[in-house]
Amino acid sequence: MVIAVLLFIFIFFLKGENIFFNVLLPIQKSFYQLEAPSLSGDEFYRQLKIENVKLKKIQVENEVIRDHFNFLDKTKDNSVLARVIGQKSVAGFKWLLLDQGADKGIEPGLAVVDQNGVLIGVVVKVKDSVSYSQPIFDQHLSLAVDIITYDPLTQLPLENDINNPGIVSGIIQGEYGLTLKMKYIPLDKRINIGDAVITTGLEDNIRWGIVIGQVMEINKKPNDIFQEVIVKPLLTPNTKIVSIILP
Amino acid sequence: MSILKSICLIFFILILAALEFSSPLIPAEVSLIFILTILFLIKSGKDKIIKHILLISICGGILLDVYSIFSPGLFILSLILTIYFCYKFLLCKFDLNKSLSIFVFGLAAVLVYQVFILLISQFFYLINLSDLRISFDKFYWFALFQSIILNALLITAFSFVVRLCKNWKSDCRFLDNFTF
Repeated sequence: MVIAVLLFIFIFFLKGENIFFNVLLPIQKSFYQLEAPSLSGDEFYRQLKIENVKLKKIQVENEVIRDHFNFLDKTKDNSVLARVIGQKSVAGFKWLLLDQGADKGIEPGLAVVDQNGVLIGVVVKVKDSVSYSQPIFDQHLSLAVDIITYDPLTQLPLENDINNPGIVSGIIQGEYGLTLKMKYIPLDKRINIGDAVITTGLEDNIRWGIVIGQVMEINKKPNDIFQEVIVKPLLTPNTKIVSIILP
Repeated sequence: MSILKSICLIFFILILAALEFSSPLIPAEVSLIFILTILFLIKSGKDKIIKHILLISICGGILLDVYSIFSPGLFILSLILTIYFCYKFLLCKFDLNKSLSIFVFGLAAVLVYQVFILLISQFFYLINLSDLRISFDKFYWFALFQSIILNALLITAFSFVVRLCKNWKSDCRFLDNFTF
């Protein structure tokens, strides 16, 4: 029992967990990789096909990384590229494991984006060499967001607010791991299907303007104080390479 | 319990942890380390609790805690308390030679495990050890239902396979007596 307690203190308070990360990270990376298409054919062509598939895997990975750099070039963000090496779900909480940690400047609360710059999650916990990201679909994650509303005919911002024309603010939350619901939008605000949803910049380490999705459905009930909006996320599903945007 | 067996078991638990968190084939709600613990508990039977179970609970719990966003100690405590509860109160009520009985025992064990996770996480939230609070909404019940069914099915399947292998081994030994 004493040994167990000492082990516990060593692992969780004296950074002993880094031993597990260093040992298990290569194994985890080999499991959680980009998928290769299946092979068939006789031995000679089979070898060629195997080589071809390996090259295609590298090509796909290069294209994803190039997309990341293209996006980051345009926005001039400081960022860290990371691989998703695992995921887990317990008691309704879902999280992703990323292979970069505090030693690269990552802190809790940072935005995690895919190769197109679309928000896919928020960093919730950081260790020296790994970090944990909660996906935006997780119902325990709430984010302050803005809807950019435009009149579809004139393409001018709708006059929802004198100080911020064309912007409606609210809170977004995941549902069933599939959709996003934006709540607490005042009933008098006009929103159109197809309007863009972006981050509002009010979260500590997340800047304004990171794309989340598009308005898909508007729920307005006569007796309610607020209206709700279903948002279609624009993220790339099953992303294996992500960027963490540094403050 | 020999040192070599313990080291092999620890390596096996490390590989299981890597598989559990990183294999895209394994659903996120399945806990391989928990399943291994329950299988050892079923194997040990109602008479005694073997030291391997404690080793798996502690090592497996540490790994689950290291790779989770919850506060450290949640999974270690949940595993150890679940094993103790199952050994003391549940094992005597089930016939571990029948698959249906093992399935129901698996359902009960997973439910107990999830209840302990819930209670301990709420306690950690109360004493400010953690910012994460499990809320009793429809998503929690949905995730709970998925977790119970998947883990119980896997416990039943693996224990069935283990029993099949044991029976096959004993049949082979029986047949050896008849060779000339």
